[in-house]
Amino acid sequence: MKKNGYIDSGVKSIRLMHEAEPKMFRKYCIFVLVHGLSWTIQVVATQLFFDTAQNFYEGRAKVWFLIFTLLCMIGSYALTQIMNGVDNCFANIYFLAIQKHNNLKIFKKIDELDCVQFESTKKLDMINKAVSGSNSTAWVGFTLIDVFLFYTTYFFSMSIYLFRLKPVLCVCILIVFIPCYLTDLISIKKFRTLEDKSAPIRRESEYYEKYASDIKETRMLGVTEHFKKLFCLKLNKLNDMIYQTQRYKKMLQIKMNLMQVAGYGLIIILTMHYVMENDISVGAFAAVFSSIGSLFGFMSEVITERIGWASENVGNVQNFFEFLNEDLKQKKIVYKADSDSIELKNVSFRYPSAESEALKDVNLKIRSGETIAVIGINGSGKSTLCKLLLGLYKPTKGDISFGDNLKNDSKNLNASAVFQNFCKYKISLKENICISNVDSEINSDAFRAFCGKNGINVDRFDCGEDTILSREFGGTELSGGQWQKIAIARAIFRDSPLVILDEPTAAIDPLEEKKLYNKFLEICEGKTAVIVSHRLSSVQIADRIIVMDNGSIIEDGTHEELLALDGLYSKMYHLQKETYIFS
Amino acid sequence: MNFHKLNPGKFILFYIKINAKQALFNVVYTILNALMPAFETIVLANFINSAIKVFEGKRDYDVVILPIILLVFYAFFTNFMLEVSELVNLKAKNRITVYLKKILLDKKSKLEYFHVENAEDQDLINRVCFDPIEMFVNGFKNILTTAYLIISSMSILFIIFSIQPLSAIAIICVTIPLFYISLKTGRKNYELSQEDQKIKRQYSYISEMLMNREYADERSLFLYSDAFSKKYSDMYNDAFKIESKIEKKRYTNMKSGSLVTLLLIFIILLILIPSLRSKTITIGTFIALANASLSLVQNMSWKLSVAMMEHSKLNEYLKDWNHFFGLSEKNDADIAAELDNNFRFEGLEFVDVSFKYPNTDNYILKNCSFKMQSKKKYALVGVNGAGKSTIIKLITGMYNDYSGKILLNGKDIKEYDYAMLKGIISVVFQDFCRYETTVKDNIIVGRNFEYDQGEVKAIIDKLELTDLNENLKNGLDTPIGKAIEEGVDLSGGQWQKLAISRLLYSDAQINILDEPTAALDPIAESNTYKLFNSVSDKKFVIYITHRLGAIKMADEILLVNDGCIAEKGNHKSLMEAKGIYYNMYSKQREWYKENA
Repeated sequence: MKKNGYIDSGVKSIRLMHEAEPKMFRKYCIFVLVHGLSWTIQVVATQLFFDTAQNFYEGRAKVWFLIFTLLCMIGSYALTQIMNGVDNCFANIYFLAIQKHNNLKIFKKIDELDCVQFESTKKLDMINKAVSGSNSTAWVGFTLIDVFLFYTTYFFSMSIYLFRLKPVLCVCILIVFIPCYLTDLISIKKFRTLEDKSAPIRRESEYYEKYASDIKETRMLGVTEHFKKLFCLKLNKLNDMIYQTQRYKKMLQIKMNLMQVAGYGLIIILTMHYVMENDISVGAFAAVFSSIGSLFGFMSEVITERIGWASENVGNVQNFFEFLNEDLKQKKIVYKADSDSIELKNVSFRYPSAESEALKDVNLKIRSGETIAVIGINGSGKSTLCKLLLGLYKPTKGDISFGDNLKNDSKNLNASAVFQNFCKYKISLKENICISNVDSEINSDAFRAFCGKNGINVDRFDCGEDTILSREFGGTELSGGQWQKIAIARAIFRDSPLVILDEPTAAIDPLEEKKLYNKFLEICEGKTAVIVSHRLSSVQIADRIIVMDNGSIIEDGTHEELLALDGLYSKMYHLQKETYIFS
Repeated sequence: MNFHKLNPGKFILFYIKINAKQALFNVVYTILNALMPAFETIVLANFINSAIKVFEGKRDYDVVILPIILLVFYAFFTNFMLEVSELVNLKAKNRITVYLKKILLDKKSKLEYFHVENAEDQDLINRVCFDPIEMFVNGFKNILTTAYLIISSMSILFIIFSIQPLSAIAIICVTIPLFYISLKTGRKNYELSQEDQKIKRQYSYISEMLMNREYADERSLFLYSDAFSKKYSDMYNDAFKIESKIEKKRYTNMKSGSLVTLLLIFIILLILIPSLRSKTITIGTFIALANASLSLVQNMSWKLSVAMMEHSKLNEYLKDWNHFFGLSEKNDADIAAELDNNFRFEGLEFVDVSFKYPNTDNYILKNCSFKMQSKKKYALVGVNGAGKSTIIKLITGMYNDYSGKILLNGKDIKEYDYAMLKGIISVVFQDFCRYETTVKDNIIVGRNFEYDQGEVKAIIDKLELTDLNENLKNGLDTPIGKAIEEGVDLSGGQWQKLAISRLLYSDAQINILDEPTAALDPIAESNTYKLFNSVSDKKFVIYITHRLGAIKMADEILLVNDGCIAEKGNHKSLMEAKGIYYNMYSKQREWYKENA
């Protein structure tokens, strides 16, 4: 099973490499092949030169032939060096091309995901693994190509060379292969367990480090030393663990290496023996002697580094392909041709991997053009309701149907929103606002006017509409209030019949809050608007108030109706009112 | 030893100080290892010469036995010792890790507060602390590699010199500029890789937008994925052109070194040919020399240019390192709070205090003066940016660079020991710490981890946190948060209550709450204020808030406006004054009044 997965992922990786850049793929294969051969050519040329030198020394060769063979040898070394550079350099460039190809694939797949998937830690893990797998994919592919075209070519041609020299030498190489492979198998397993065991300790030590370097509260409490001590304790423990396993691995390697070195010594002694017997020439001996280092180097490189690495990462690669091949069944949004309202019938919603429902049996009808305020304490399900109203989440039970006026495509509604944690994109001012409606074109003047209407003065930005809103990318940093204006402008720029404002006012003071709501409503004239808040300042501007508690709508009506009900709303209202009205 | 100012020389000494034994081993090993090519050359030459003599019948078989043993020893040493040295280095790396992490954390914990709010210093701190171990280990290894390259090539050169002085001099003339060029290309390669990083950061941000969770909602709502995929693709293509160019340049730089070395070997061997003809050198020596110098080729191309690049990297890092350790520290920063039983808080006074944040021009506080007395509850109110939090930052000693005076019990606050101030003042900050350890720790951290079971229980009852005690598996000792496995997640409101309980548990006489209710809903907010009043009626409290309704019960309200106290008095008198406070209050009240 696992073996199959290995081969399967490898073949898929190579196919993907080919698909990304067929031309580069062919080029790479040729480079690798020539590179592999060049090392053997180098050995042959060296022997030729040394043999000629010996003949020359004994007066049996001409000077011009010696110089010719010297040129050949230097040329073969130059070829190897150049091919080594070309091969590695090209691999890096090719890797970049593949990465782009893979990333675009991932973006597309993620775009197809339902956004509720991002609430599931399992799914998030899967996405993260797929992303890190996409990087490994190319290198697993490279490893396979290298193994088949570089190392195989090299070892095969070297074997032929050695076989022609003396068949026994060729057998020696094979013997040395075995211990390399064994070390590798054992150490990988040990490292897995280390990773599992050390992760919690590492995390703990990181947290203590964070607390100790908090120079506000921790310092004021005078407990820095306490956390420093805990940090050192965990750090020492972590280090001990790492050291134990690594030492284990190293000791194992050393033991195996002893066998390898013995093999190495055997080959030297054998070749020396053949020289003494006059079976092989001095030149051949010297050539073998000088190449044996790289022979063993390549051998442990291909097995411990390359194949070892690939087998550790093949799981990642599998994740990537699984993610790409995943079949996503999309629930379609239901539109009602005859009405403009949004209607929820017995809607329940549960987050993936959550135990209880975030929304329970909700029934609600919002008419087109209505302004609704949603009130409730923290965690009562307000934000979840918003995401259902926006069509971002699909109900786990019950039905939502949307008015025909919201029709966009089968997957998404034509709706807009300012979320509680709206995004602060590190891109230009114009992009930051127009991102909500990427298909619409707007010229500079119209954009300036649009911003002005929303309280943003484009001229006050260093580079106008092209100012990047992040210092990291050479632009300017904005305050919380400025970002808020941009987030609202962004929501408005998407010209849609439904706009939701989800508690975007936590960062601003109450006076600003009221202004903001009024402004918002003014802009949303004629649209369906939903305002979510845990403060009651929004209620006055709403046509209707919905009170949520524990995932259900417990009260629904106008301000007066709710007060008359004498329920949670009335309790909250009086409590907040009390603090402002003289007794 | 002072490690605050390191140059490459001092860096080596500092490294040796941490790891004396390992460093000594490495130095000896490097020297021996570097002499190996010369050793190999001599032995190999000897073997070939002897072997030829043997089958010419001039000598007996046994003359080759010693060279054979030595050559096998050579093979053993070069391969096996490498593993042994790695084992030694493993232990050393562990020591370095502990040592460096400790001194870096120590420095971080002592920094003056303003470095935290300075983006440039933050970048510096992140750069220095990102991977110091890698920098140190590689830095030292790199110095050894450089030494290896120099010694091994010099020893070969020495052999050549003893055979053919003329060619050796020629080699030196070529090698020195070669070395200089490598040094330069190494630096250039480092700069190129830095340039490359910059480009990468830009397009990888776009990929974050298209993949990360924090953008998921807006991405699905606004449907910008396709458009930005295209933008990513375009940016990537632009960057790709530059990156491939950089990559090609890097490899050309790297490989040109080895090609020049090859040319050099060609010249050496060419020069040696006449000597070979005249038999002034033996065939064995000739082959052994060719072999040794050819083995340097791969080293020269990879190791030399990588070594030079690493050298530039280390130099840059040491610059950052020195800069970081040069950042100013707060005196007694990590000293424990000290309780002075004789201290009785009487009053706090600001006299003409003016303050602006470092590197800014705007004064946040302008001749701000006020007086507060013990056993009263104060509220600092005002719109965002009026300077409320700044006043707290000055009282708690986070910033000292102000004009005017802050008097505590009539004595300048700067004259108090920091340890004592820590014992006197306790604060719940807006961005309070979530210590992800246990519920108990989060409370008793307020009194330097002294545990009084009765008091803790009383506080838990008062703050209505009993469910935390009763519902959790191990009661107060259950881990909370994500730091410890199986930790229980708390809600924002519960965390906030824990932060407040810390304040209640402490013995501090000055209690400050800086907008501690932002994460709470109105009911919880109101309860918190009431509760805090009831449990701390004998304490001196300063509330900071922009929500006026909740702090009506304060004994005295100070309205901060434009960097100074614009109005003060109790709620009633401020309302009668019909000033700024009255306006703010009325506006906030309006929401409730209309329907009242």
